[in-house]
Amino acid sequence: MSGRVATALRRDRRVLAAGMLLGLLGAGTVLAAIFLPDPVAQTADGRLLGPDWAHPFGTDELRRDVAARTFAGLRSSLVTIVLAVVPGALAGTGLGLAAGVLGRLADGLLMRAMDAWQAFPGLLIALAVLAITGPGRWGVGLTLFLFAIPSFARLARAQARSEMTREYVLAARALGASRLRIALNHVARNAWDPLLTHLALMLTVALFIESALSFLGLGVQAPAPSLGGMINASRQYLRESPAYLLGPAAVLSCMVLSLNLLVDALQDAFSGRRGAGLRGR
Amino acid sequence: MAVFIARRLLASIPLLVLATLLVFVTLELVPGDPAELLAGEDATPQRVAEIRHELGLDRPLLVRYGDWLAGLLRGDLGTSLSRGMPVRDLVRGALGPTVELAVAASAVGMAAGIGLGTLQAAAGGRLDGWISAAVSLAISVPGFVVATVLLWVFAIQLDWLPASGRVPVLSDPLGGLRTLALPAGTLALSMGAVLARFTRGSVTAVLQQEYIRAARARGLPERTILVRHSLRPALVPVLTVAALQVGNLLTGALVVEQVFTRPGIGYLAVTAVRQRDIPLVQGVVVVFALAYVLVNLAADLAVAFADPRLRQ
Repeated sequence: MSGRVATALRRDRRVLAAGMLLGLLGAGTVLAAIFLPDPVAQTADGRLLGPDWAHPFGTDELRRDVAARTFAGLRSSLVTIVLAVVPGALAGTGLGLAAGVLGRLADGLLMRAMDAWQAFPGLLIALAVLAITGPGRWGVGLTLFLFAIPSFARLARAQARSEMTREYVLAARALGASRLRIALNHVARNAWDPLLTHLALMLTVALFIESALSFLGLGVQAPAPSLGGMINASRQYLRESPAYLLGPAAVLSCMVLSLNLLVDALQDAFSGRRGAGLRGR
Repeated sequence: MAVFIARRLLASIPLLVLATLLVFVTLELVPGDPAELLAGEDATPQRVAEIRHELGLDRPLLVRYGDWLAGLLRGDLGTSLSRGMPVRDLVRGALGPTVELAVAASAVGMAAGIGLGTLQAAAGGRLDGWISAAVSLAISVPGFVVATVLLWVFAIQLDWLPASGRVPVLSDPLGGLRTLALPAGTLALSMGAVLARFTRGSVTAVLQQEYIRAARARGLPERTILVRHSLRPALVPVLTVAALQVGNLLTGALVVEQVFTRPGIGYLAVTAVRQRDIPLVQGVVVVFALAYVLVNLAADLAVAFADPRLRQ
């Protein structure tokens, strides 16, 4: 990351906003873990209570603390998407670099396979995968892993191919460096920026998919807490306790919003564009 | 143009074949034996073998794929394990609600998104900033959250609209639109937000072109410049994004139909996966894939129609 990019990011108000939101969510997670009851245990208080100091988002139909479950659910979502998307990103990047550096045949084969895989939307892949593995966290993780691979492969390949035409690659070759060495030592390093932005983007998309699948009852299974699962359960009690819906909904939306703001800021910083709202000035 | 259409049609065939193969083979990997499932717990091995033979499960994988594909071409998608009905009938029954939903949502979403984006690019300043912020927020709230919140506000708090169900629009327009308003509104919101953002960028870029400056120098009114000279070139890339968004509507339907208990394809798909009704999952996924390919085909044709350079 160059100094120009770092400066652009520091000046970007979106980064500040995202940082504040993430700070709030982080503080909420820590405070919930210290002060709130066990997310899975039933409390001695009533069911479907409104928010108060003991239960900031109220209680659910089984007298569990909604806030404790919300933050535990957020943590579990984040663990799932990071553990699934990061390996997917590495695998995809590896494949893409290989396609960009190796010969035509390997390139053609790999990329046609990626095209076909990418031709269909994530939730459709999820349905097929989950029909095989059955609902649950592992199936969701596998879906997200598979979902992440092709877009990283494409991006890494495009980067590799444009880097391979640079003079420094020619120079490295002239010095006798092998293709592998060039790919790992030079191309991968220069392709880093857009891949990082894409990783942030894919984490956001993964959070969407993960929470939607839990909402549909295909992700994390009860009694383990999940944001999607809680919002799904809250639908039956909207009259009694709106906080049951609004707490998890707000936390999930803030998480996605802060990731989105970061992605936008990263994209603009790397492309040298100015942020939104500065048009024509 | 005819050549372009023909070539584009041919190009989508391998994709479909690959998709069907992928769907069929992956779903064949499902652990568990449907024959044992159907036979029940205390069936004799002979009975299980009989059922397996009846279902054709004792033949090699590729033969079964061939049969299934041939059936698919005849419109025969097999029999649902959980409901004992032909998958074709289930899918056909579920198409109406989803098509209504997709059409309504994309009409509203496109009109609102393109309109807002153009307004932002033309107006600039504070209005642009506020709309941009609202758009960022709308993009960040997942569809099922929007749907549930809309359900809470309009169906429960205000009691203006029904919370669930579906009435066909063609037989009862008013009742149909009432059941359609919340699900279509949910999908239109996310689609509109993405399109507004993209349209804003595209129109802004066109407005910075030299020929726009030339038009201004010739004294054309801003309105004419915007509508006649900027929108057409600016909307070509927007069309492509809009088509992708229509594709996303189909997956959005998975979630939204669940929230509003709308008996469409999405609802059917989720039920099928939950019950691990493999023939039904296969059928639904293939229908989804087909719809997705067709929507993208239509988009490519529309783009080619709008921009002659792309017909080559």
